[in-house]
Amino acid sequence: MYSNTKKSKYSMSGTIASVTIVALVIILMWAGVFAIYMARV
Amino acid sequence: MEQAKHIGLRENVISKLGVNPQDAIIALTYFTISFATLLIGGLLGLIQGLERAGLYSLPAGFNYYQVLSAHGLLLLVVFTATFTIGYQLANLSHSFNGLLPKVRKMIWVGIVLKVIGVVLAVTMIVLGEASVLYTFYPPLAAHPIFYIGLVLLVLGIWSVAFGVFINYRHWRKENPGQPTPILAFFAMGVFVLWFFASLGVTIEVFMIIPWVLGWVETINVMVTRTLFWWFGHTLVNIWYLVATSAWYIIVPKIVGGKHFNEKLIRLVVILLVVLNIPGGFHHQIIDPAISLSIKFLHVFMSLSIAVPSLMTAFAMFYVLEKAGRKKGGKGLFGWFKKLPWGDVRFLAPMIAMIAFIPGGAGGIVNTSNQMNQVVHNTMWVVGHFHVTVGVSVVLTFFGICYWLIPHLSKRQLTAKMNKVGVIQTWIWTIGMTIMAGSMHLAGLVGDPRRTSDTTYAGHETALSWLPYEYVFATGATLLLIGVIIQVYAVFNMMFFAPKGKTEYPVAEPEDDQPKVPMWTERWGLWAIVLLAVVAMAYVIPIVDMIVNAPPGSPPIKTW
Repeated sequence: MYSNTKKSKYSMSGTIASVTIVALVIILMWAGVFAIYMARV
Repeated sequence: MEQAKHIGLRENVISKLGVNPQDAIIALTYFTISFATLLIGGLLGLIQGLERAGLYSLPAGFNYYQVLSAHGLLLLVVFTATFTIGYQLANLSHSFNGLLPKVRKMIWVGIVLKVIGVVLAVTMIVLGEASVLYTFYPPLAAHPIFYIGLVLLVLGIWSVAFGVFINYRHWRKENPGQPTPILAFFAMGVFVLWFFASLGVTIEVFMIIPWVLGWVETINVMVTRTLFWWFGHTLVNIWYLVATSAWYIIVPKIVGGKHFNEKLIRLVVILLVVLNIPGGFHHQIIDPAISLSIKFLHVFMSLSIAVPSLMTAFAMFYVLEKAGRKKGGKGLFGWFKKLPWGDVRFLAPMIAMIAFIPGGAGGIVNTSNQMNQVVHNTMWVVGHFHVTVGVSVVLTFFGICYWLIPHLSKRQLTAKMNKVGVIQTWIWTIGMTIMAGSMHLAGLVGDPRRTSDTTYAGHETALSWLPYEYVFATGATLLLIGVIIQVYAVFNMMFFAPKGKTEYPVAEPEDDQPKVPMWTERWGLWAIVLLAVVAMAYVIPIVDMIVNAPPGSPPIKTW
């Protein structure tokens, strides 16, 4: 029986850290180009 | 649990079936066309890069825009389309235990139509009659034969798409109550999206043909641009959907794991199909004649693609971490080192997935209204699609070659060829990092795209772009070396590698997965939702462009 609360026997901390890095790349790239935009308007 | 066991058994049986020999010939024919095109298109890419940097002069009779048009059409349309069709048909044959004979006939008709179409279009470019670039939007006007070639190309794709729909329907009828094998589900998503994407460009081409023949004097430039991007943006995401099929289903098997929850995978496919087409408008953020509220709606809809993309990022990290930890990976990122980096079947798609992080982030920048003002029509955009298509998609395609081609030709992937593949992957990655990275930077300091001469009479700002352009040329040189190695590898595995058996690496689901929801198979419903989303995004602006039409334009030939 599938259970939503079933825990993996392995740590999945790397997945959380990896998707956080993805989020940071998105935010930094966006913020960097937005800063250029603000400097030019 | 019972269904999970059944699916596991089903995937097991499927993995033993292999691809029907007649279907293997079809797929290999597509790959032959695809990689021959890559060789020519790649060479043209280097030539135009060297020409732009002022390091090479084209022979008399040829111009930069002509070479750029051929490079774009051959690589963005022909190479990617033919690879996609070959790969998807192999997946379908593998999943359905062979294609239907009438479907094979439709596919061969499709091949013939596409080849004639491409030959006509490319001949016009070579003759200097169609230097209209990949986007070919008016008021630039090519020779009518160029557009007739495009019509045949689209008809060829439709012939394959309808064949796929017939085969899918037949399988569902023969297997009532069973969910379609997951790779076949992806194939359906790809061809449904392709069909609806090509409707926009088909209407556009049928507006252009009477105009270039002189039957009508002017054309509505805004409407044709809009119809082009209905297709143009979606095309890129079709390749992305194709790549995700390998990421979700093939990569987990290669790393020794299982694929992620099938319900989520199917939801991602449906979201990518339904949400994709309205993304096209963010290519027109700078265009006049589109109201701010419509642009805002389209920015929002373009950004919605980030949702299935982030779901994919999470799912893939989960699958990879689990596989790495099973092999003894410790700590926060110890699992990363345990992945099979020496296996080209993993290395190439893994780098492709990593590249999608900056690629996707760049896409969010392009879609955001203010940021688009900074990068629009600059080399940033060229760098962006070289990362997304040139790495995320193309490296996945290259990685697929190393198991699919030997499987189809009943040969083996040798350790030597694997090494060649690993070297090729790194050359490609370094070349693309150098080239696309410098394109992004050059774009941020204003270097325009699609411009042959960017010295602007020696202006100081323009001259500051030159070092970046030398770096483009260096990266492009490495990429051509990568193309040559890849083409060698493909034809070696097709005709010369040792005879033997190569696995078709389809991952199985985990044992405790929930039942695959049958509602995901309702493609008629997804098509209706897709049309509703397209109507919401396009009806008001297109009606506005027609009712408040700007003065039409006569055909213009600038070269």
